[in-house]
Amino acid sequence: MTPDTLLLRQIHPSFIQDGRVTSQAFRPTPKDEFLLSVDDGDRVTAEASWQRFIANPACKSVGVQALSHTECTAQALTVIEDGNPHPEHCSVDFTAFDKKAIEKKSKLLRAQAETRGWLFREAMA
Amino acid sequence: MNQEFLRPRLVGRRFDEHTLPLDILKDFSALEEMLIEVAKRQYLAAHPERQRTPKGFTKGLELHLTAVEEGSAIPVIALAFATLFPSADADYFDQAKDQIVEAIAAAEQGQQPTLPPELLRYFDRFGRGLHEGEAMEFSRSNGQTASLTPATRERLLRASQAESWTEEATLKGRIPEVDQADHGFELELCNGIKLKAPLLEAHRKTVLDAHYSYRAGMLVSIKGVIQRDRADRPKCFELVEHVTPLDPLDIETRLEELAQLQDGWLDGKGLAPDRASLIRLAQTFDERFSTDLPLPYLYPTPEGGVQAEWTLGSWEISLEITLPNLAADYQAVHTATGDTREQTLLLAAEDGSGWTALNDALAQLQEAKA
Repeated sequence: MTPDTLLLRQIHPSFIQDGRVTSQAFRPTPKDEFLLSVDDGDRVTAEASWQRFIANPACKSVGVQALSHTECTAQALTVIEDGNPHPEHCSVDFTAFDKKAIEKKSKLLRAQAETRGWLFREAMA
Repeated sequence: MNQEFLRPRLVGRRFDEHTLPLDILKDFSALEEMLIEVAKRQYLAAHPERQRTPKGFTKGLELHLTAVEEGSAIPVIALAFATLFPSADADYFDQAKDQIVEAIAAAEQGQQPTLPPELLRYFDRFGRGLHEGEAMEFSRSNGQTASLTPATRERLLRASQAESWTEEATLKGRIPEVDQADHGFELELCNGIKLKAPLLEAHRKTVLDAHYSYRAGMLVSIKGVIQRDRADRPKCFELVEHVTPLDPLDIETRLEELAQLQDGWLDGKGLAPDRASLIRLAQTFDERFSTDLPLPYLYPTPEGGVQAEWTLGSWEISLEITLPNLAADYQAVHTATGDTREQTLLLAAEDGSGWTALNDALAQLQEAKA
């Protein structure tokens, strides 16, 4: 993984309105134990990452946006290459921060992801 | 000459000022048609030797609105005759009125109305203009009152054995299909149901614009008359009165969409927001949120709440609203400087102070953006 590595994040259909993605998509939910699930963009394409995600009938995604490794580091967020539940899986670690700090970081990550744009969208499949 | 015939009492907020909305006059027009048909039946029952009513049985007979009295509003309806003296057949109209009022009373008491099903179908139009919480009260010959409400009307229509009936409705959705050759279009509701509707010349441009922007998610609101089946499912628009384009961020529509979510909506996690609380939130947004500010984007939260978000220049703003108490956490972050502003707001406060604080905070950031 390099500073330019993109970390791929699936976007749930309820987390988009009129083309805009919520900052909630870039922070872990309380049940995620403060770890945000992403895929290593150097090892899997956005489309393949999406295909694998939606192959699980319980999971929904309208497409893939991304945060870079550098952007995470700038927010003092560590990226863990845990390889679980699949080899390309990584976790962005928010455990050191409280709720308000997490919300602030997610806003900054959202803005950067929006500038980067979609890496893959469902309609393209 | 005129002879006072009927003094129904109309109850509900629309009638509080002792006036009648013109819309409700359509119902009395349908009542007039119903009275004529029931009166004909009365005549034939009294004259079993006749196959049909005499020529001119209803000629020159009309219902006229002569006054609107207080309490909430009481339209005074007279039977108008073309002749100098009341027609001998006028008695049949009195009997018909009593039959109709007794049918309403029977339905109100959960009994089978005595009018035959084909005559009960006139309640498809008579009573259709009543909104929830409204009633038309009629005096019975025994001095009691019979009340026609949307619920009583539905019972009368179910007793009519009709497969479907109509009701006035305003529905929101997108337009995926327009058939210009057939003068029709489809409205797709947020739950995926598609309703066919007639395309009128007056609405053509709005409908076509909405259709071209279907993939972009353009929403319209359609006011008209829909058909509903016995299972309470909307079937189609019978009549379209207004087609209004909606803001893509229309609050009420978005909250209706969020109300469709079920528990587990977020990949097996995620609580569904409480429907009644979403309705309350939509009402308070409508009443308290400043119209000078941009509408927010609205998203569900995994905890069963709602998160409102705005991007104003370099400011990223969120308002996380907990349901049902409408307590809210506001946070604004400047993406270039990292400057952060936070406050807790009580949007349920009766004095509206939570909304005032939100409006002020957003207005400040909007000014900074300008």
